[in-house]
Amino acid sequence: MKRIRFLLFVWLIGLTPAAAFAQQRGTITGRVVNRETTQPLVGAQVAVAGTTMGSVTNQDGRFVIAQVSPGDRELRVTLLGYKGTSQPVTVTAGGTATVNFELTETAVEIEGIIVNATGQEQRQREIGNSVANITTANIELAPVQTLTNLIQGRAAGVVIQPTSGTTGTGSRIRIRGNSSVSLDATPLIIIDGIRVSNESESTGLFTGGTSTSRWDDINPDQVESIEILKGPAASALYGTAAANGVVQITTRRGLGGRTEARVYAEHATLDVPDAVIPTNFRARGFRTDLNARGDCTLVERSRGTCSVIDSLYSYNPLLNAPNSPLRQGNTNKIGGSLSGGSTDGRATFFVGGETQKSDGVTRANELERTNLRANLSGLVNEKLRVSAHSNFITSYIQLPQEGNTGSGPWLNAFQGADPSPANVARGNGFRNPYTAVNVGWWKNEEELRRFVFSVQGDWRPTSWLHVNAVTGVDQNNRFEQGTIPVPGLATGFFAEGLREQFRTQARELTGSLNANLNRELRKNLVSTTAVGVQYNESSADFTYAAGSGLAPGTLTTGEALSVQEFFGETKLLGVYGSQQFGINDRLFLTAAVRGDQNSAFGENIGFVVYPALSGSWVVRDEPWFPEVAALSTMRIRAAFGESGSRPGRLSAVRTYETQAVSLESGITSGFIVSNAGNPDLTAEVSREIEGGIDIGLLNDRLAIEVTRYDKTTRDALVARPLPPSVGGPTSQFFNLGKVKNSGWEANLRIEAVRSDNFDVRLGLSLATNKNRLIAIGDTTIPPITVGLQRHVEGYPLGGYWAPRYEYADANNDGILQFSEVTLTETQDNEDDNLSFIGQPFPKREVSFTADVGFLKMFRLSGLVDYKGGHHLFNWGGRIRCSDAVSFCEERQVPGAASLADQARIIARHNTAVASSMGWIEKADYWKLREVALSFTAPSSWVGRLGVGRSLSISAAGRDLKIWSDYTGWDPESNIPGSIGTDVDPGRFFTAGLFTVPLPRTFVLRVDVGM
Amino acid sequence: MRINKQSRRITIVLALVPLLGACDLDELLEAKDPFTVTPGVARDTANLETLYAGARSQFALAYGGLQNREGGVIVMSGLMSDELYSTDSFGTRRAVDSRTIDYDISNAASDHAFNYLQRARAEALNATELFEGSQRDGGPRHAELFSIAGYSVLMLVENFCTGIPLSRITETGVEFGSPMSAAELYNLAISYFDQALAQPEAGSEQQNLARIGKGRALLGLGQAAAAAQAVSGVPTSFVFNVEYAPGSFETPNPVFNMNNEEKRVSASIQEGTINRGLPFGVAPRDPRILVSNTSVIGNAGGDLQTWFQLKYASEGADIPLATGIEARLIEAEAAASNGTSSAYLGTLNPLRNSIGLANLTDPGTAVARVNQLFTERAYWLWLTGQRLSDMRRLIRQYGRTQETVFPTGVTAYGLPFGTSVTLPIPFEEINNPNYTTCTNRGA
Repeated sequence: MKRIRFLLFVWLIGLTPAAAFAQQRGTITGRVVNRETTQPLVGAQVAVAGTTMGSVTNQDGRFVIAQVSPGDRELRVTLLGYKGTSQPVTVTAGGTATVNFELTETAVEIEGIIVNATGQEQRQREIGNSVANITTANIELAPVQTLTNLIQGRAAGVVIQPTSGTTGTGSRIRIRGNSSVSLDATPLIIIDGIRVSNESESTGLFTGGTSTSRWDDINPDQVESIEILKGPAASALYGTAAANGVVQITTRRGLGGRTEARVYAEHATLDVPDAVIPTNFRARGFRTDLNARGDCTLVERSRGTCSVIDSLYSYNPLLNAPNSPLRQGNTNKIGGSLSGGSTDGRATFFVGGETQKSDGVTRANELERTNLRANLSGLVNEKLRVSAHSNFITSYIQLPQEGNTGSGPWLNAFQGADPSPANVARGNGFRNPYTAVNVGWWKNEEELRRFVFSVQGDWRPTSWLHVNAVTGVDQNNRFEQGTIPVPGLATGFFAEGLREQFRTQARELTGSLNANLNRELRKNLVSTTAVGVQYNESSADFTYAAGSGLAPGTLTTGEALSVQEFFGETKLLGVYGSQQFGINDRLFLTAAVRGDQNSAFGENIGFVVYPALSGSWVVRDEPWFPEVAALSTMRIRAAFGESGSRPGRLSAVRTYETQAVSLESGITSGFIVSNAGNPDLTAEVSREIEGGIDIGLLNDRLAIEVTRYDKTTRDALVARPLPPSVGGPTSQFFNLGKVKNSGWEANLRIEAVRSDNFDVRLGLSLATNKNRLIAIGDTTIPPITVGLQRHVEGYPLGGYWAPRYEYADANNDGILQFSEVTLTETQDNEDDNLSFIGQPFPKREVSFTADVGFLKMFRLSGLVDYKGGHHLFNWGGRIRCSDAVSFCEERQVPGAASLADQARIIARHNTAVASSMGWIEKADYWKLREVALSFTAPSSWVGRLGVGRSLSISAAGRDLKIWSDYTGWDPESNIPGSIGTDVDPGRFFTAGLFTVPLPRTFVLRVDVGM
Repeated sequence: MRINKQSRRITIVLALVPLLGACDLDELLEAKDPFTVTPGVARDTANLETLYAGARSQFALAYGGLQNREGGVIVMSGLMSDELYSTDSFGTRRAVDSRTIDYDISNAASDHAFNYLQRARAEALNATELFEGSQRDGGPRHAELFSIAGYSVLMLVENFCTGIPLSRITETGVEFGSPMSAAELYNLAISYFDQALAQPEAGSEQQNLARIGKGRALLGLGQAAAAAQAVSGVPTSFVFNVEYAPGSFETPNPVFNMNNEEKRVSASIQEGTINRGLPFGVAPRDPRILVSNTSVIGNAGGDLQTWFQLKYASEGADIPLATGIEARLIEAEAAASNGTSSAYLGTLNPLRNSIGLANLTDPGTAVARVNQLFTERAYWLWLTGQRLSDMRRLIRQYGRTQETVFPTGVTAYGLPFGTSVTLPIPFEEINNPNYTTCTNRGA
């Protein structure tokens, strides 16, 4: 350790004297405007070609670049949505050169700027892989309630699957498919250069499967841009943990010039359409098998034990106020910011804050969140800029019981909820008595205090060297508490009450030091060299306490049930380097390598090395390229890279845990084996090859990007299940598997109409993913099962498997007999008598965006997206219709069930078939995701109103309409958290199970700039 | 000139970066983990008592179950037999109760008992190895650990279908066991009990525990005389309890929790509509069967009633594992099988008299005597996890059919009874390369 500190010290000190030799330099200033409207363009990147020097334009479109070496220079300007351009400029020692730019709008994005793993800004044209770029300046934020809302539908290949429509719950996020059998494939998040928590399920409390997500702590209003590196071809330099992609977030920062104040207020209403909430039915009649009156459902009618219904009851416990747990939800937000800086851009600041209060559509679902941000940046001297980014988040979230829990209102409304009058009188039509008052009887609360802080130093001792150091911490302290009060429900569940507390202090610490050398080796040949070292430390300090014996009406516990504490950390050290050659600013070739060592690797494993290669060729710019009038841009790109995912913190180690036991002497602890361990465990490595072409047509008003990717994960970590007969842990990790993901991605953007008073921009995004488990590595391993899902060689990971059946109404009486539902003779897997029914994650995605501006004041935007080719286990439907006590309409009401409906009900009851195949349904859907109409008042109006410098009002809707053949409530809503990580460490489990459908959200937002 | 000098300096410094690889990475990447118990700690002889407690903890979870989650042997045996019925909506528990087991899929309800019996066995055997050669070699704990292993194997073979493998995690990897016959498992259990008896410093409590276990295993093999011999000398007053206590999630009495608190299972009044189970709850009730006089609606709602057992009165109630009364019942069975009715009744009646029950009279036939004996066993051993084994023995050793032994007809929740008489080996056992499925699902 001392040696490292010494070397770092030497490195920094050794470089410092170089500053003393800096020669006198000049300044470049200027302004960037829209060519057609002459309006200033904010946020344009202005850079001195062949150097690491640059600036960003302020609200007036102005920029200043200080300390430029004298000589003839080329100044480049880029801005997403505009065509990049350059101009020559001569810089004199001590002089100021002025260069102004007029930019033309474009649908082609190859001039967009991204920040790479070494902290260097690069134009997309220099990078051989595709990067999804989301810039909030181009997005109407009114319908965007969370960070995942911001990403959803806006990046091809990124799949967001919400667990529930409950406010405050998270989503499963996957990029280009699942690469891992037994590791969570959630992408890495980098904010302003440091790693932050990417937990998408961070609740320790029992909720039935829903969870809060650390993703949605991040306020989308404070995000400037998001770059999504979709796989190892792009993320190799991020090393271990980047195999599932990297979501790189840049937060808002101040621009030099006048201080701008901005305030906004937002009100949203949320509701679940009544149409998705089914009614319960119960049919009764004389039963020949009982020789008495009993249930007379489709099952009995099919069996022939009941033919005449004498009573048919119906009741909907959710739509009968005042006892319904449902309500209209609402959200109120108020936020604001101050940003600005010195006119020369030497010091800038952004200070922002927002407070939000939401009531979800289920009673007892609440969220309060306050988000404060301060981003400061300043030149310490002519060569050193220091930036600090800080974000403090405080939140309170109360989650209801939903999903896989008998203690919540939803399951109680539909599982065994007898609609007959006696039960309606007894329990308001619920299985267990519920009222609007006690719906939140089991209270689950999370209080969060989170602080994300990073400091970045950018040192530019010469025009060709850029050294940057970033360090930062994401500290999130969570206090979760669950309370079952006394008196509780009449069921007697925890009749003595329960208090649980989880206190978690989780920390992500990042430190990195990078050097980027940018030299023009000869005319038209630019070399960019980067080297760096990165250190990451993740730790969690956790205590849990539970008590029972609550005094009625209090939180005072009479007896302790459990006290546990835990501390775990993983550490990672990575060193990396890359070399890029840029030829004529048209052809870019890059080679890179990273080596990682991680404390979670087995003791027998050393450095893991991840290489990368890429090439980008803007072939249309070649002088020899034939002049094709319509073809304005054409780029060919290809990339190859590897990155990894580390095993779990203790997966490599044999460990024991303590277990409480009551002995004669009292309650004591015993040791039992908790983890089998494997000293040979190493990172699983994903290798990706991608290639693509970017085309601009019609003077770049039409852009087409097509990408093909092929990603193979080797040494995939497999939690090989251990048979129960070992009498120990349920699984043991091995590097066994091989997984392949491949697919196409295409983006099409059209500047369909471009005029002063009317403009239309359309976007279409398509993506496919083919996921296959190529090998499980050990033929003795039987399929790994997760409920109805299995990891089977040759099939998609987590595919749904069930016995395939057939049905035929032979006697044409409209009622299937038990004998008329039979197993299909040939099944895909004859040994297990199972067939592959479908995969849980979408094979196809489509999103369509439209953005129409008119009368210079109005903008109408919309987003429609489609996911398809996947299935979802309609577990809730199966419970409602096909369990022993089921009260769905199709089962109870004669004539309500189609033959297919009848077959899937009977198939579960007919022991000769015993199949849930019918409940594994196609989950394709189209969704009207966002619609927004915004009005931006002309500056003259604003001046007259005296409300500031700008005013905009937006009305928007989110999740407004869905089209799907799925018969459950919502094909999007699924619930990975309802099954434990011990059974499903890769989080493949998907099921629709009594979670709140995504509510329709209507938003009104007012935004005032001052 | 300056630029060249500066360039050289920077280049030299940057060239030092690769030297970082020579640093002491082990030290840098050493992750703190103060709460993880490593093998070195767990296997330290100073922790022998903790290892013993670990085995006991798993056995308690296997025998009783885990509160708010799954029942153990007592609940599962009770559901599949005529002691208990299911009053929640879980299909897995109903499949056990209605004897409609699908042996090719997981049954989370009964898997719990299997998994924890295996864990108790493995942890007990792990601990015995560490006791050997230690200061506590041959002591009472050492003997008790062998008995825990013995009872674990015994309960596996008594309740689950045939073909159970016994595997282990060793220092070098996993040793996968092969399916074993019932006889092999009973004999293995006997060998563990013998090893318990062989511990020189085992006290009378440990010896009686092992003797009763051995007798019970011999009964399973149909060797009643040898069983009686094994338990002779165990005082009638002997009781070895598995302790439960309120105070943590793992330690409360799970039978009380699942019945009286959560209402997921109910004490049976009399199960079955065609062949009927024993009238445990029918008035006037036998004093050995403590069932509430009134019922409440069960966890499944609707009109499904739950009756409370009152044998275990609280979360802190202990559950007997082996008793002197069981020793006498074993002796009575041996006498009955010899046809010596006087000895048979002479063993049973003093037990009955001790709680104010009238003497039994000889019913006159061997068949009726078996009925009488097994009814006595059912009443004395009610809710101790022995009823399913006894019903299977009636089929296996006394020639009865399952239709005459188990309740048939329709369950309390309207499903017809099936024909299963054994709990399934968990589906996950297919991860054992030596295992495919149960070799015999019959009694």
